[in-house]
Amino acid sequence: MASKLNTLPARIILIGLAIHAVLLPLLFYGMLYIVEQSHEERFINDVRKYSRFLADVFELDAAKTDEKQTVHLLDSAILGSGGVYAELVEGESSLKSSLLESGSESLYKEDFSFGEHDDDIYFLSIPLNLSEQQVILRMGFDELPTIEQVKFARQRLVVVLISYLVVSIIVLVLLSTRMVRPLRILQRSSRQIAKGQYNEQLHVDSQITEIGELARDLESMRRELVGINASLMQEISEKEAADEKREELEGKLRQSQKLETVGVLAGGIAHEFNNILLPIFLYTEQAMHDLPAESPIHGCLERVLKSAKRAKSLIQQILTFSRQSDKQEDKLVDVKFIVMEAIELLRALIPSTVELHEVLVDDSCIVMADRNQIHQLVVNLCSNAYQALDASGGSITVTLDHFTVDKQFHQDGLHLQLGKYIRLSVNDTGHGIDEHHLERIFEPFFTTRTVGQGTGLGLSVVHGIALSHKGNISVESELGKGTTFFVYLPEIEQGCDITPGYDQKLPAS
Amino acid sequence: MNPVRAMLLCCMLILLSMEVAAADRQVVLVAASTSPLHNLDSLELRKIYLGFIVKRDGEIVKGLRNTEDNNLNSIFLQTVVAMSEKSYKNRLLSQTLRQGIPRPAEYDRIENLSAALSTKPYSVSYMWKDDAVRSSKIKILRVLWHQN
Repeated sequence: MASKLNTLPARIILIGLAIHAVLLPLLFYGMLYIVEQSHEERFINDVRKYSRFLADVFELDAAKTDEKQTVHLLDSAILGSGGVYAELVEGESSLKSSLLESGSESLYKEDFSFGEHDDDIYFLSIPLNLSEQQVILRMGFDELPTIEQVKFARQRLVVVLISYLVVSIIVLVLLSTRMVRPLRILQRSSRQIAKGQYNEQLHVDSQITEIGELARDLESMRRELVGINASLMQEISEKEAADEKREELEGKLRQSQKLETVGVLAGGIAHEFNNILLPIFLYTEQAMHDLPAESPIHGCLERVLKSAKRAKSLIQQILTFSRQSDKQEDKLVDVKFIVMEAIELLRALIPSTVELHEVLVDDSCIVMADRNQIHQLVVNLCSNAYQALDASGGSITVTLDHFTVDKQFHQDGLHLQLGKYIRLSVNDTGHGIDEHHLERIFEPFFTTRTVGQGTGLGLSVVHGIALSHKGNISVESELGKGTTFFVYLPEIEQGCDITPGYDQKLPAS
Repeated sequence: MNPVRAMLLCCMLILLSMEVAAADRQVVLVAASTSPLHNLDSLELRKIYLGFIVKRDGEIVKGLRNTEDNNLNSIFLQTVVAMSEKSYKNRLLSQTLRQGIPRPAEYDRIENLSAALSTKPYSVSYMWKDDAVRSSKIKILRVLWHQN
């Protein structure tokens, strides 16, 4: 109840009622006083004038007026004026109107104001100047009609004021409702803003200046909040993106460090194995040389030599991965021709169900590289792509183009120096690689294939070759759609004289 | 005599004398004792106090108002001008505005009124008869009203 009384409409109505409670009685009694005074003043004026007029008639006609005419005149005075008493007094004797009831003279008390003596009759006496006689005209007029008129006027006044009060209350209710409507809109909007819902534009149509200004202030506050919120959201999304990027880079760094560690370890082991293999090769070949060809041991030694060669090849791959191969001979080579040679070789090896496309730039792609290693890199990537395809076939696309590593690309974690690169990309339409495998794809001996179908060194070797040529490799894969490997090799500025298909020694710097 | 009875008797005598005095009260039309005016009828008197011109011996007769007493004023309004106070004031105001006739001079002290009447022989006024009788400078022209 108290909270309802504390609302603005209730307060406006209560204040209005309080003002009316004070003003209406004042208005009522003030107006009633004016009405009473007006009626009484008119009554007194009329009766005095009429009495005076009658007195004048008596004074002027005194000489020729007898008793009967006098009574007749007094009767006429009563009948013509609404009077209730008429008497002409001369000394001890008097003449009264024949219309008077007996004993009415005892009521006579002269009045000088309306309502005096509470007898409801206004009595007055007019001394007549008739020769030497002292004659007095006494008249009495009924005050009740005037009192009734005043009473009726009071009733009408009450009705008018009550009507006014009712209309005022209705107007107050309507006015308060109209005043409160924009305030309610403002209240609803401010609550929405407090809840964080401030995208709806605030529109308050009020002719009250203060409310209009309040609405404009609230709207400008809302707009500021929208702006602040947008910038906050942007900052948050940027921070989230940065965090994501940081985590991704940290992952790549960990992976890179892991590969580095594995490479160092594998390289050390490979060297030791290489040393171990050397006497095996020497003594096996010596034994085969000393033994006759028809000796049954000769076949066994051939198997030993074959296995040793396989071991050496494996060690060579490990050394390539760990970039410790001493066989790398860097020369200025045009990668485009190496890629073309490799694709020709691959066309002969892969079945016809696999489409092999090449998209190569027109101009030359000069890099400082070991021709054989680049060849191996292309073959390994294409072999890997072919193995990713299922039996029904698919397509492999080899693309070679120029690529510029800028700051934005530099931030993506490939650790490439800014500058121009030759980008070799090998895309397949295979089943793709899931995210978990993608992280380990360059680890040596990591393979998803069954035992005996691969050593798991192919991509490790590619990774090692790319890094040993101051380049890098990245992979993008989508399950069900395929995988693309990107190899970046630093491009040598054109102008060097490169003969297509021929190697050229790098000039000593 | 019992003192209480004596006091009651005294009170009764005083009240009786007051009643007798009240019963004799009269309002009279007066002028200066040296005034040539003898009598004025009711109509002439109304004319004088309503701002109309009434002449005696070629002189304009002026009416002076006695405002010493409210009862006297009420009797004047009822018996002389036969109007309510408001109507009388409106009438005088109308006369002043339309014809430039000054309203009757008003005096709230008998001494001043007597002095004014003495200096204006063609002036009349009204007062209680008791006051008129006490002053030798004033003569009574006629009775305007007397208490019943």
